Amino acid sequence: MAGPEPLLLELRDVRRQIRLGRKQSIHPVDGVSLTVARGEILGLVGESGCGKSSLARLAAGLDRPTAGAVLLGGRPLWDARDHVRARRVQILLQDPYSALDPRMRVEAIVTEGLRIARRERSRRAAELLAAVGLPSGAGAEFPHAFSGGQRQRIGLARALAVDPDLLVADEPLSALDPSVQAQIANLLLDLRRRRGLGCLFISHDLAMVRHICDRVAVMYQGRLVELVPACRLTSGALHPYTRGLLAALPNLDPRAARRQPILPRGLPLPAPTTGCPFAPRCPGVHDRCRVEMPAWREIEPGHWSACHDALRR
Amino acid sequence: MALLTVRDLSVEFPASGAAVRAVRRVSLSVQDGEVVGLVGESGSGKTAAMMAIPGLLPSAAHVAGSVRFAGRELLGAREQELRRIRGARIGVVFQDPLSALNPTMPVGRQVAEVVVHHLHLGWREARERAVELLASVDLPDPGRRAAEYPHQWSGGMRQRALIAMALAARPSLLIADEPTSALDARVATEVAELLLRLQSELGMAVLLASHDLGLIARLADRVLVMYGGQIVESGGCADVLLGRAHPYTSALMGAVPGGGAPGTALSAIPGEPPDASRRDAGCAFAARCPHVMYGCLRAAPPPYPVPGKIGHVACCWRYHPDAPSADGGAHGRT
Repeated sequence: MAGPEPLLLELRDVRRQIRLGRKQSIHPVDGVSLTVARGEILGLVGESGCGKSSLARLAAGLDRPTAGAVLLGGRPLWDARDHVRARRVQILLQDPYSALDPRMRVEAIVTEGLRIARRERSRRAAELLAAVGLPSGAGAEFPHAFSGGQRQRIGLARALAVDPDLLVADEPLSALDPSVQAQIANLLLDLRRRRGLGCLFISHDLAMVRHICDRVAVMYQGRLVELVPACRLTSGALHPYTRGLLAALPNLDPRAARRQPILPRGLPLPAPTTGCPFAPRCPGVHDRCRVEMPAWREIEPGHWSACHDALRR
Repeated sequence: MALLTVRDLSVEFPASGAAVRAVRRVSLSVQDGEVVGLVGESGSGKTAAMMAIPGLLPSAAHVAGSVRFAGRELLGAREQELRRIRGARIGVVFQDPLSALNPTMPVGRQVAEVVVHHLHLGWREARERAVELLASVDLPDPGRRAAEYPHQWSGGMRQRALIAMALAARPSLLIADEPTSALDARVATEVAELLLRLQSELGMAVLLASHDLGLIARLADRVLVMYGGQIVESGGCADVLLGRAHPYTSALMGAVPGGGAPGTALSAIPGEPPDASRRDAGCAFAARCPHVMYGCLRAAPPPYPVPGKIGHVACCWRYHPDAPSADGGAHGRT
């Protein structure tokens, strides 16, 4: 995927540790390596609490990694000055209601990050709002006048105002109705095509991820367990966790929906200290899984997995 | 006779300017032991309709029509009587499990409170019963966790606690408003699984509102589709979800990824849902409908049976022989 093209985002063995007390600490992100190419939409999926949002904050430069490096265009993201970083990476959050200042007009919200003359602002805001499919009069209104889907568009317009290279979208669709989800997803696909925007798209909706992403990374308890081209996700997933997530995909055919299996219930952190973190829930667990952590290996070109059994399948 | 029969239910919220007409003459029925799904976008009136049934809307809301539950009229019933029915005969589960729990009281005690109130047990027995109830909704280690406060629990666990409370008195009807939409996909599947198991164990009827079509497909026997405060289609679960009878249902199903080739545009429904404080003549969906015809803009389509399906009804002029037409021929009833 990467080839000779410069990598937009590169995470090298990134960790984030949070101390809870003098002796206790947790690792929401525990050694993740990932890349996002220019114009690529990389999906990141996993259950709540697996570290998706912590990884999003690291990739957007909002948190500093405890170890490892976050590189943007080959340079360390955290070392860049704030305004430089903000111009290259923007983040879009889940909740479109709390992300906008209710006392600011939409025009001011959207152009807040720009250093331009005041009379330029209205014109630029109108352009940005038009780019995300909002009516031209929207700039003069306050956020309360808009529905959830429209607010998410305003958030997207604000993120795009500085013309970033990378958009980190943390569950941008999950607060929205299915039809509005489709509108925003189409907008992302369009931006990728027209502007070559790279995107780290975090979601727990595998059906959506499979549809709009190029590759899909699956995260479990702070680590990646699988990285697979989206077109191979359904047929070629190797890790039992990925296959469990796929089995939980909603089926819209009522006759098939009733026969779906589900994964064994989740266990709270911490994971076992030795062995595979997924072992306590894995349907195919054997002795080796309990004592030896599976290595992160490339099974086929572009398809990585961390499972002892991946090669045998 | 149906367990629940709703006739011409309307809900209006007064507002400065025109009143917001959230629910417009909705009629539905739920049989004993039946799971009825209610689908639609946010703002379609699902929640207002569901909350009006057990009398849970704020007093400012203007509710009209008739709600008969087990032979008794609930609209206009005294608050004292409604309180006896709610919890004992009708259980309610809300969308947001955190705001439905009291943050200053251990969860076990909140469950026990329901038991004391509706089953008239003493506190000591109620506490034991509460732990049993929490165990029955698959909560791990219920004895210890019952002493914890809501903030110590995950969203999925809180939703389980709410389900335990709603079912404490073994109601014959459970009203669940988006019970899984605040949960992540895996936990949502587990909660759906739990509802399905409890429903078959207790044999209760369920009225389930959700915009998660996968959940509805899994649980519902019958589906009602709501748009602009009205039920625009109803029928058997597979007939409605796969039948593509009403253009709105069809568009809603088409917006879910899975059908088209990856990376291609999803078929989003153009435009916005209708403004609940206005009503133009004609079909509420006409402005966004790909099949819109002359008559759709002039008269609202009445319910009409979908050809070849039993109990499947859609409000769409495409099926109606009397659709108004430009040449001034037949015109519909309104």
